[in-house]
This record gives sequence, C-alpha cells and structure tokens, in this order.
Amino acid sequence: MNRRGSWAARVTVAAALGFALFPVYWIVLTALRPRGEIFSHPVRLLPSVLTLDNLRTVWFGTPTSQPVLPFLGTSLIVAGTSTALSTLLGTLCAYAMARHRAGGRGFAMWILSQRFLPAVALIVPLFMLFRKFALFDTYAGLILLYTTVHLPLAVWLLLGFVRGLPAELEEAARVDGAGHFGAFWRVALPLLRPGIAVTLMFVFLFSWNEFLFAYQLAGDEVATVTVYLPRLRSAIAELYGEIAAASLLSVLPAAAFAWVLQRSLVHGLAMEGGKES
Amino acid sequence: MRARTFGRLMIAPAAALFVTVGTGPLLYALYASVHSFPAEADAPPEFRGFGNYIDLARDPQCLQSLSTTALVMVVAVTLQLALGLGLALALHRIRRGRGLLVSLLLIPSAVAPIVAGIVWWMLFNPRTGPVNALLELAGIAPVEWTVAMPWALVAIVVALVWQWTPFVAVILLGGLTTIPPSILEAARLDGARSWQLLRHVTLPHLRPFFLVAGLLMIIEVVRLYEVPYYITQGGPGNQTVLTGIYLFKLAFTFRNLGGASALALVFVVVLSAVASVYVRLVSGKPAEGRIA
Repeated sequence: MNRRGSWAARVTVAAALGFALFPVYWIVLTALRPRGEIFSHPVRLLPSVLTLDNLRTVWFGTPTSQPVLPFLGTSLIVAGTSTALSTLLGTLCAYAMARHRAGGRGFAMWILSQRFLPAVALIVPLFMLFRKFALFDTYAGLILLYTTVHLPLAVWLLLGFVRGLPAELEEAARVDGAGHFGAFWRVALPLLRPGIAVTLMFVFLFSWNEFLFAYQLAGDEVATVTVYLPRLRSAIAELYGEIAAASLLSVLPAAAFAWVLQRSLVHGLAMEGGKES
Repeated sequence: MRARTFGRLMIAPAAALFVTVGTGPLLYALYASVHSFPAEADAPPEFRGFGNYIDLARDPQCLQSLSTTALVMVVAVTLQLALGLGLALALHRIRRGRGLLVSLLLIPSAVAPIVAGIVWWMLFNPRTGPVNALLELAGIAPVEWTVAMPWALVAIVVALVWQWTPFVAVILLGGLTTIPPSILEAARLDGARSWQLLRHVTLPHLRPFFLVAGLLMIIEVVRLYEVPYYITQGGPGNQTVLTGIYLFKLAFTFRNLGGASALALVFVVVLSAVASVYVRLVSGKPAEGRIA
C-alpha cells in the first residue's frame, strides 16, 4: 500500500464520518437548546446554553400536545411482540428449509419475492381487507402485519446460520433416540443463539422504525412513536426544539436494544471461540 | 413422524402468514383494480374492466409521479453505489478501529426514515438550518430548499444518500474482505496499476455484492414515502409527489380505491421489471479481460 493511498483513504473516511454524524449532532443540539437560540440569526453552529426544557415538554406533554411515553409503550408492544413472533416462526421455517429441504427451491424464492412487495403496493388492499375483518387500528392487525413483512428477512438471515451448523450433532442426537423436534430444540437451537440475536436486532429495528403501516392502517387507538412525531409539527408554532427532543427520545430505545444485543453477540462469539480452542 | 411431515409442519405457520397477509392482498388488489367502489359503505363494487388503468394512463399527475420517482431512483441509487464503493475501498485500507468506524457510520441507516426526514427538514430549513448558514460562510446566496425546484428534489436525494450510503459501503466492504490477498498480490507482481486492479480484479469480484446492495436500494428508494412526506410534503406544487405519495392521495384523499389498487399493481410490475433489468445489467455480461 502506498502512503498517498492510505492518506486518501483516511480523508475519505473522515469526510464520510462528518457527513454521517453532523445531522446527529444537529438534532441533539436542537433538542438541548433554548428556543431563542434555535431561532437566532445568523445560525449558530455551536451551543452557548443548554437546557432540558424541550425534553421535559415532550416527556410530560403540554395542554396542546400529548406526552411521548404512551406512544413509546405502543411501539414497544407492537415491535416487541412482532419481533418475537417473526424470529420464532423464521427459526422454525429456516431450520426446516435448510435441514429437510422443506418447500423446496420454489418456496425459498417465493419468500424472497415477498420482500420485494413494496409496502405502498400492499396498503390499499390491506386497508380494504382490514376494514372487512375489523383489524383496522388494532394491536392484532399491526402485529400481524409487522410479523409477516419482516418474516422474509428473518428467514433469509437465519438460513445462513442454520447452513453454517454442522449436521453431525443433530444426527448424533437422532441416533440417541431424539425425535426430529428434539434434535432441533435441544441441539440446534442453543447453537443458533448468535443467529437469533442478529435476527432479533434487525427485525426489532425495522419494526420500531416502521411508519407507513402504522400511519395508514392504525393511528388513533393504536399509535406508535413514528406516528406521534409528525403530529408535533404544527403550522402555528414551529416547535423545532420539541420535535428534535421527541425524535431523540424515539431513537433511544431501539439504539439501546441494538447495543445490548450486539454486546451479547460479541460476548457469545468470544465464548464460542474460547470453547473451540 | 417422517422427516417430510416434520418439515412441512415447521414451515406451515410462516407459509400461512405469507398467503394471508402477502399474496392474498395482492390478489385482492387485482380484483379491486377492475372495480370501482361507491362512497356508500354497503353499496356493492361495480365492475369496470380496465377503466381504472385507462384513467391512470390519462392522469397527468400520475404520470408525473412515476417519472419523478424514476428520476430520484436513478440519481439516488447511482450516488449511493458510487459513493458507497469509494467509502468501502477507503475503509478496507484502514485496519485499526475499523469496527468502531463502521458502527458510527451505520447510525444514519439505523434511524427511522421519518426521523431522517425530520433531521433533514431541520438542516435544510432556509432560515434556521445550518446548510444555508454554511453556504453563507462560503459566500453563496441562501437557497429556498424545501419550496423551490429543483432544490426540493436535491434535498430528498441528499437525505437518501445520507441514510443509506454507509449501509451500501458495509455490504461492499464485506465483499472486499473476501478477495484473497494472493490474487491482488499476483496481479500487482504482473505490473497491474491501482486502477487496473480495481477494474479487472476488484470490481468483477464485487459483482454479487453490488447485486444485493443495488436491489436493496432500488426497493428502499421506490417505496419512499417518509422523507418527501416530511421534508417537502409533496411541494412545491406537487412536483415532489412521488408515486408512493400519489398512491395514498388516490386512495385516502380522493377515495378512489380501485384506481389506487391499479396503481399499486402497476408499481409492482414496474418494480419487478426494473429489478430484473438491474440484475441482468450487473450479473449478465462477462467481464472483458478478466484475470482468471
């Protein structure tokens, strides 16, 4: 590697890092700024005073705006339940596909094609069907949707992990008298833990961030935090600080979840490596 | 229990969900697209053949939304892949702290698209946003980002590039790490220059990774809703109404459920066509002068 090349690489990465993180800095800054400073002219790129007022307003609500907590709760219920369901069904499905060639190649391609169905194309028929079957604006409806739309991702992620497991262990368990399900449950499943952690992380993130279904097929009785955010925007008062504070609060639970899983994943992999050596 | 029965039982719940919530609604859309639905709730739908499709073909706003979507898709996906490749090559050269760098770079992709819309709406605000402030420092006149063309579309593309380029870079970085160093070494000993290495060794090797990254980006960009919804709300004068937004206008503002179903199906067909053209483009023709 020549020296000039490695300098160019560093400059590129530094520029990308600045571009990626400046918006993050700006939203944090706006969330922690007093109103006067948000609207100061010329625009100030560095803070002089910081305040928790915006966060407090969003947390406790005001006479004209609702507090954020119930919406975070709804997101947690919907994203949490559907993530658990997707990962469970995805694990069963991927295991049977990889080990028993269940469904064959056609089934695998069909699952992949589900991922290519854009949500915008599904919403109109789903809207009509949800009305018909009383699923509109219910927890059950939204959980059902999230579970299904993220299932292809779960299956494809887990397929890779199941294929990476040596089949001999399960065969040995079968020789020892375990049934098909016993071999899956007691032998394969514990070994799939890193794959399950990765899947949980991705599916939770996608479910937590979902906006379209939550906005068009729910939103009154069952309102997630992504639906709450645009409601803060009003034509009368420009609530930049409050919107930024709410955005920040909406991102934190997903970030915390991803961080915990990633840590346990790294830890788990380190343990596996230790066992092998 | 036989292995075959066991396998079928294991995939049954997932298959049932795909049929009821995925394929089922698509078939229902096919039915809805050739009917019109009267405003009264209990009135039966009326069959109107290809009427909804013909209306769409004559609807200037629908056609404009399709061409705007195509434009945004081509520009955004090209930028994401090109910049993603540059970033991946740069990251590949950095050994120390690469893991931390990747985690930081992936923050935009982990953020909800609606939050990405909010963030860029604030950054592009003509009066309080830092983008115009920075332009002013450079001596450039402020731009009315969200209300003037073509700047509103530029704002949307910038937000998309911000959110997904690092993600593309990480996929391509994964590909770069699978190139055996011995191949690069051999080519270098044969006197290949850097750009020759890139063109004849690295890029052909990255082909399957470009395939995955490009397809993911095409899907991500065409389903686009949140970012334009928040940044421009379709303005100025409906010029940033992308197909996704128009579809909902048709369905929920104009209550034209038949027309919206027809547009949804057109959308799926066009998307599949675009995806297959892209697949052919990337994986189809054999590389010339490839080092075997």
